[in-house]
Amino acid sequence: MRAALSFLVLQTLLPFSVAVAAPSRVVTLSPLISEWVGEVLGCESAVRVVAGVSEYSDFPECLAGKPSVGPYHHVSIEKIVSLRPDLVLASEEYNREAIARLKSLGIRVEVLPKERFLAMPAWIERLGELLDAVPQAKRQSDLWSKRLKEFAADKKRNRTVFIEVQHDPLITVGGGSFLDEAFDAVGLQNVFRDHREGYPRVSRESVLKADPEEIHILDLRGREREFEESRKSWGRFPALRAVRQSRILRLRGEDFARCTPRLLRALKGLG
Amino acid sequence: MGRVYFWVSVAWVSGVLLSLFFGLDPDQAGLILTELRLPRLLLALSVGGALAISGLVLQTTLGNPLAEPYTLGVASGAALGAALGSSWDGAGGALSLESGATLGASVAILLLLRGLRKRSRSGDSMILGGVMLSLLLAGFLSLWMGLADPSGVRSIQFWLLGDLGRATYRTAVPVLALGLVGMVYFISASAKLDAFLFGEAEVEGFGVSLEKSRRMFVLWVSVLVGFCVSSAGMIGFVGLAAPHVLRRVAGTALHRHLVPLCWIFGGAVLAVGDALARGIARPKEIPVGAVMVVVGVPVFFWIHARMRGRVES
Repeated sequence: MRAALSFLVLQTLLPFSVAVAAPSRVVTLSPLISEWVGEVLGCESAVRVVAGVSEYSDFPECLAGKPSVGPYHHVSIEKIVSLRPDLVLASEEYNREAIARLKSLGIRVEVLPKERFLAMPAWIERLGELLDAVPQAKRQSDLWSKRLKEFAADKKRNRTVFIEVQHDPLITVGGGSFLDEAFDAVGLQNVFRDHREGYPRVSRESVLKADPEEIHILDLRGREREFEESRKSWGRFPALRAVRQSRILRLRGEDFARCTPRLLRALKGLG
Repeated sequence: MGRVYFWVSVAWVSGVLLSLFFGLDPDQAGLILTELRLPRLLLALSVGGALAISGLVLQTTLGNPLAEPYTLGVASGAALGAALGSSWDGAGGALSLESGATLGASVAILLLLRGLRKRSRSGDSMILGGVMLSLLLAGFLSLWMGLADPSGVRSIQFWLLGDLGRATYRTAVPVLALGLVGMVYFISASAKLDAFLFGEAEVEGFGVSLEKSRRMFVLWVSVLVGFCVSSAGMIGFVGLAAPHVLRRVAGTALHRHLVPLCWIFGGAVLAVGDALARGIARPKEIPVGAVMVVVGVPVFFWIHARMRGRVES
């Protein structure tokens, strides 16, 4: 009888004890998080809820005018404090220092794990829980899972690719990055996936040795001239299969820089 | 001399006020002042003061006006340690950037002391040894930068250019305490420091042991610099320029005046530099080391020219 009574009391009280009010002043510490907050909440709600964003949070455009808290790798603690957030959404990968500092000031900080292309559904759902927007997040995560299945079904022969993130010094994508997983999902095998760092610096000799079938140049700044210079520079090595077969392609920065729905859409054209 | 103390104190108070209130957002001002700006100010005053005293003592004991706190290689040791520490920190290890910097500075001090054991070391050869040690450690740092993940390198680049943004009371108070103890020690040793002004050959004539005193001074400076770099990164200019400015402005070479003046003035200069670094491009922060050099060097030449003009007239 006592046990039954306790159960009844618990059942009555539990929903109140665990319920956390939806945050009303959110600060995001990386452009990826800002973009996903916009995707999950939709622009109308996001504009109301978001109090500040990290620099370069340029998408969705409705959040671009929000107060900046500085670049994601060196955010201004003062600025964040002055925005009186009730939730700060931080990235495990980029905001380690800020997380510790903000927590010591009594600010609620929730840390999102490093983004992994294949694990994004869980990442999105976690964000939904934090924003008290579980159904909206579930829709987005289901969409992501559906696309992953489609990619798996359409996957053709693995072609080897070199992904150039920066030309000088030459920086590529390593095995631990979301782009490596994204390319693999559509049948493009990154020749430097054995490097476990996110974005390793590699030599041109090692690219020649790997002899990729395609070279993909990530154009982060949207500058045609820089892409052309980079393409021409690879043209000096006609021994490369990618050069012989004219398979040097441009990846638009706005599509490939972040692990967001824009990446999913752009990947469809790559496989 | 009273006038010099007065104006240096005015500079110090100005630095304090600027650092506390420049660009202060009225929202949450209380929290920002007590938990962010005050520890940061304490660290700026302590590090600036300690670096200025270190520069003064090294310029005197090594008999070289170009000597500065980073001449002896301790800062390079701290920088290398910080880089390695941040790598291990990222890998979930026990080391952090700060503890790595402290360890690196300690190893550099031990190497330095080993070098100092040999008698008949002249000031010039010590500087040469220090520069070589700096180069060696900087070489290892470059090696690390070449091999590490670029995102890890970026996180430490800001710190290497000087960063007071990590200041908490826990980091600021030990540097402040050590700096004050160091200042008292150097004031008490000011007669010995004055003896060095007459050249290495004359020091012992004043009843001062050249080797023993120099070793003690270098050890003190190394510990001070190690603490400064571990808590605030590499901040140049103040350690080199502050003693020169004060010698000219105060018109004295006596260390019982120069040591406290350097401590006050060095702290004031860094507090102003940090306020500018934090405030001019808000919410972005500019590395304070860069601000110190870009703003400090023209100001230094202006003071230098003014003082020369006054002497000539």
